[in-house]
Amino acid sequence: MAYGVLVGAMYGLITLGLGLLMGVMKFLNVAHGTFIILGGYVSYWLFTRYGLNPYLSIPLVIVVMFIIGLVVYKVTLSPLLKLPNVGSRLNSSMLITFGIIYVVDNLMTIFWKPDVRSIVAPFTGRSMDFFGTKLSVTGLCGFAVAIVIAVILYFVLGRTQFGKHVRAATQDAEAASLCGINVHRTYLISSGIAIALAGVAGVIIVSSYSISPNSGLRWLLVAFVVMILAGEGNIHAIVPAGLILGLLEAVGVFIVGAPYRQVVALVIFIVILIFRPQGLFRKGRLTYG
Amino acid sequence: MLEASNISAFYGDIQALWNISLVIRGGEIVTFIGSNGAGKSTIMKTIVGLVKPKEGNIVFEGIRLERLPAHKIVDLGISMVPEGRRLFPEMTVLENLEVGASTQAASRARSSTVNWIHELFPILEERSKQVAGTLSGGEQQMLAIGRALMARPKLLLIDEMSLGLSPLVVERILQVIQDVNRQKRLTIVLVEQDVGIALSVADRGYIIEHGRIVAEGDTKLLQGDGCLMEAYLGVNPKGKTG
Amino acid sequence: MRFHPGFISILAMIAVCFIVLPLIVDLGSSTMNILILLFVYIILSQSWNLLGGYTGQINLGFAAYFGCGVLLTHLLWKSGVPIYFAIAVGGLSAALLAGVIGLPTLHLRGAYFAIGTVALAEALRIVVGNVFPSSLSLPGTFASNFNVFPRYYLGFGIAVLAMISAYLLVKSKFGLAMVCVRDDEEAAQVTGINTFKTKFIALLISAFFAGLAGGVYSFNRFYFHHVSAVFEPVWTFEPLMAVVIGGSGTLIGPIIGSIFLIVLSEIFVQTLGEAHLIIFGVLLIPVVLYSPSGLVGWIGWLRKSLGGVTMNHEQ
Repeated sequence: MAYGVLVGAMYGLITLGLGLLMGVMKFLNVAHGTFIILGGYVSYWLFTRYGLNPYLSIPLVIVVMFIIGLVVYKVTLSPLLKLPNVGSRLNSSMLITFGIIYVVDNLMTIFWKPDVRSIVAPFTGRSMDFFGTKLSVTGLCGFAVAIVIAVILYFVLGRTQFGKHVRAATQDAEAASLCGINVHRTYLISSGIAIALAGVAGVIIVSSYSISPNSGLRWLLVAFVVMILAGEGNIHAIVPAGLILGLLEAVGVFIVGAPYRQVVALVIFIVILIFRPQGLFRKGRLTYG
Repeated sequence: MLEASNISAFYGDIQALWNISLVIRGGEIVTFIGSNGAGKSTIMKTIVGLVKPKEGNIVFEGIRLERLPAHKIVDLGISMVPEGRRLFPEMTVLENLEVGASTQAASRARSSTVNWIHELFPILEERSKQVAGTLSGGEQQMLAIGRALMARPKLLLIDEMSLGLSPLVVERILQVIQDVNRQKRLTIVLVEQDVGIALSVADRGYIIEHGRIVAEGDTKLLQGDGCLMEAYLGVNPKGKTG
Repeated sequence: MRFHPGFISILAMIAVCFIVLPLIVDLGSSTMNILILLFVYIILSQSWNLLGGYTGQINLGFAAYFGCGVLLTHLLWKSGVPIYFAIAVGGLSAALLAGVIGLPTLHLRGAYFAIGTVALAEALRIVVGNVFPSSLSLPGTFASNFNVFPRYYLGFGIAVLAMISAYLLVKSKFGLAMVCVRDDEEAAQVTGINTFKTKFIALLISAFFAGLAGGVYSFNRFYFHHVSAVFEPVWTFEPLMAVVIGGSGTLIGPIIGSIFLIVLSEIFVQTLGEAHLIIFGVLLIPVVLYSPSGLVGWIGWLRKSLGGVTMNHEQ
């Protein structure tokens, strides 16, 4: 049960970047999983080359991934803003990011070979006693990182000027530019942040699990499920939704067994899509556009 | 203050404005009137940068606007209250105001500007924490105007302010607009469906028809010329559009 | 749209080449294999095109239908069912799968449909991987009877069938409905088109052909190390890429795209190995951004700018 909570927080962390892009710009980044893995590789590289503790590498990973996010936005996503309606923007963003998967996945394969990697540090595999249950150190760190990031994001979006610009641009981009907000720059920075968030998730994954160039899809699907649970555009509901998924998954695995862990998540996903596509946290119907 | 010359603007392949030339002088209130779809809002959007003209130029205090993005134009001192208000529905009244001051110059003076807006529209101070989507029509309009004023503009464009509002509320808002124009020398351009309102408040007017300017002049003269009003607007100049 | 008579005769000549050439020239088994793979890709991409290019439903989990066809054909054939029948059943089972999945997911718009299809394909892949964890192969008797010719002609035949079916479908009233749904679903609904039925039928037909493609592929393979590999996303990506680069929403596009795909694969697989897919990703992005009608659009543009008379290609 407690394990479910730890995993759930991590699921929430994974989803933040995807939710941000979708909520703000209505772009569906199917390459999100790929960027997570990329962040993992960066951290892995820093660890094997310089012995840098992965959790300490997080700020560096953030910087690197942020820059990558800016480039990706500038080159591939910003031309889409010229498209007239949201539907075609969404479709094209899916196609383009689908292409990005294959470019980046294979770049990673070329650089790092297709083997499975994970960070094995002194603390890997160790557990701590917490109110009677044994919890893994990596799981706890992952949980802590997820909570910290979620809190930071909450404050940035809610209290800072930039956060208000983002919210305004999300709710009405034209009106936002009438207030003097440079909407394109806001989108650019948001993309950087979204990819950086993916990168942080990657650090956690490479420390707690393992990565290989093609394993992005697995995490992408988790993020999809959590995003749907949280409701479109509902960024603050993402970590809670992740926790719920973590718990539901723990229950499901208990019933059907571990090899079908991912299937449990996917089934939950289908069920939600059919019966409550607006997510668990949103009031009202699913609107579009 | 602002001069537009030979503006032609399109929505896709459809031409909306034909060879528009007009002048706005500092400190005055100018109105654009005309029937629905005549192009009044399009002119406003072209000035503020939401629509880019295919031909012609717009000069504001010596600077050419046609190639600039909207947020830069706001930075230069032109602000617009858009048709339909376009508030940020999930942000509070106070946040909507704060976001209105997003340009560099405006953000420095943000808190004093907020105080000023609260003086003009006290109800906004009362409802500071309320989410904008839950306000009444009149309150929303006041908030929209307040938000536009937060940018500390030199020129304020107001698009179809009176739609859906009761006459009392409209009267009050107009009063505020006129006060601000007189006290702060804020130049105002008003687009209005309601000819009576427009002419009662403005110094000068342009009559727009099918994307062209068909008449202009001091509002007193326009009002007096019954034939003009009848012909172009089908209106008794003392009353509402018929 | 009228077919220029010259165009039909060109097509006929090409078809004849394909039919006759292997009989008179010994192309070698590797070339024959490549051609069979080409046919598989043509069928697969044309079927994705019907759903995505013509009806506007972008399906990112297409591998599920392909894989279903492969698996079922293999299992049936192994247990003695004649190959032609097995392939047909493979196609039908894929359509059945699509029907079951389609009912709940087609209510979803755009992004959610795509996400749903990926999720389902992945779920299927994992389940299959767990049910068939070890390798699958055909008994030795099959190997001794191996003859590449029936495989070649079967593949060719089904590819032609797919093209003709696509042509008839697109030209019919149903085809018009498909395009309407793609261009503006709400407007289509308002004009009385049952958009759900349109999407559903397009999905069924599309999945059927994907299953057939799987059958052809299965016919040509004796050994599957991990059969779940045929459910992997690459079997969605390659037809998708062929369609988008070739020209989505056209009949010729998937053919051109598939040829392009195979040729580039052959060139780069030597140098880059597994990573040759990177080329396709790099190509896909500019095509989506700047040339949405793909190579077909490009050819049309070239034609016009060279001053030639434009042939009436359907768009």
